[in-house]
Amino acid sequence: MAPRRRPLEGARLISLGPALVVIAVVLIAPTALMLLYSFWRYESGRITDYTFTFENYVRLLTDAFYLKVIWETVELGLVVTVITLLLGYPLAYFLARTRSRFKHVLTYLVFMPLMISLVVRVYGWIVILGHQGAINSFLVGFGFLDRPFRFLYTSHAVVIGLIEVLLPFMVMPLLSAIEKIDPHVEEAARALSATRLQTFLRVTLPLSTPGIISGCLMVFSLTITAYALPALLGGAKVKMISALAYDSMLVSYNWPFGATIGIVMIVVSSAIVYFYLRTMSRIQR
Amino acid sequence: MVLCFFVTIIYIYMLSPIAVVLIEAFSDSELMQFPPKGWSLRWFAAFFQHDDFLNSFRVSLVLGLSAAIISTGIGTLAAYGLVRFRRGSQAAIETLLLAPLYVPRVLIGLSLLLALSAVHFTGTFGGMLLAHVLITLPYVIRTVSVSLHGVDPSVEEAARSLGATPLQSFVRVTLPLVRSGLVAGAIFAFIISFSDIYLALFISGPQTVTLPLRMFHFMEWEQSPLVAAVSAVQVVLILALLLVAEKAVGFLKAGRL
Repeated sequence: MAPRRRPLEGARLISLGPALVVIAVVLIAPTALMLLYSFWRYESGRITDYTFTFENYVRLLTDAFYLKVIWETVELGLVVTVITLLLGYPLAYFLARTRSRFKHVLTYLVFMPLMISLVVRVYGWIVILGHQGAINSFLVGFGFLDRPFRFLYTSHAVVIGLIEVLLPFMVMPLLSAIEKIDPHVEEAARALSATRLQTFLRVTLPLSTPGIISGCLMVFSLTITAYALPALLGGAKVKMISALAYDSMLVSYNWPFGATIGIVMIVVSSAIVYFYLRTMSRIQR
Repeated sequence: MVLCFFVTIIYIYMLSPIAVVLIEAFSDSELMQFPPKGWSLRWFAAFFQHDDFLNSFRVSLVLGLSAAIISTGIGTLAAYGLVRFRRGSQAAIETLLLAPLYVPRVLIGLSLLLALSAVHFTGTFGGMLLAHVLITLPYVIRTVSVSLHGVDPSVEEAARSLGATPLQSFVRVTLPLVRSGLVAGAIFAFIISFSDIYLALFISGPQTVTLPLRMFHFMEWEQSPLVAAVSAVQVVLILALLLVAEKAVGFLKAGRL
């Protein structure tokens, strides 16, 4: 059968074309526009007078206020990532190694909440952490506290909420990595008279490192770019970079500055995603 | 085992917000108390009489259906192109098509606000639709690709050797065989579109306030179990759809052997 190259080319164009057009028009072009905006001068009223300037970047990266927000966002990212790892690893290990016939259901239960809207889950946390919420009702009702404790509108509430929402993203690569570890390797270690703990620390853990790296990168990236959850659970006190971007775009209408924040965020998260994808492909290998 | 205990705690932690919302929806009180002091369906009734929320529900439904249909069409074609026509530029094209998964939603929303206003398209249904097609496309491509990998190309070649045009072979042979991936992709696309908040925050207008956005603004100012009732309806809808997706994939796999 002779290879038919010309019809193939046409068919390929038709099949991939529409999707690529969508990507170009709805993702790439707007991002390029965002880059442009970041170099334009802000003029209140007209939004911009289209003169070229670096002042947006200078302002974002040298002003003490913005540096503080950036630092606090990164700090939050690190805290959430570490705790999510500490909680996610046992969960992933359990799911990878369990022989229960509920394994599929249990795995499904981890990822199913991702399909429920973020707003619904945040509302759940408001009900749990609120003034008359689940936790306060328990603590006050049983006499541990005299008055309800204020959990909401603190960075702690944001951390608690983010960890819960992002756990699946940590579990996903970890599960992949741990499942790929041959159980015979662990058995061999035990046969050579290593304890369970030693086997875990010196065999399983090192072999699952790509999963750890991937999970941490993804959770960190998602945390530093989060907006909706910190806004609802943290209130005005917990300001993250995305909140600054939102304010710039829709409150003060300083689109050049908002675009600058966007570009900086895209550069950072692209770098993170690049390393994430590279590590993930090492797991799949 | 200690691990089992620890893992149980983690599951409770992960699933408690959803469980709490479902329970709170049946609360009798005007305030957000948990556990509820009384039980009633009043907040469901309130939801079905609340014009704003009903309107947003309709918007989200229509948007989700439209995005799912368009996304499934474009995505199925793209998956076919990716799986059947492998060439050198494969990796680059695949990265491009899956890019919306990895770009932070906030930034997609932000950049779209800039782009849409440049063409005076902000706040329109069309703008939202474009945005939702973008973010749902990778999901469809993925599920259909998985299905397509299970289809033997010689089946399509057989059809063509029997005189079918490539288009006929695609529509009458390939499509039915990837039905499960298609259905799953369409359902995921709907769910992703329905639950989006980030894009709505940036590019929605007065006519296109989606349900999550309406809930978001409501939650900023008020604290009543009405949101719980709305959420409960949403959760039931999504769980039902996920069940359908499971059935579609499972049933068809078994039927195809």
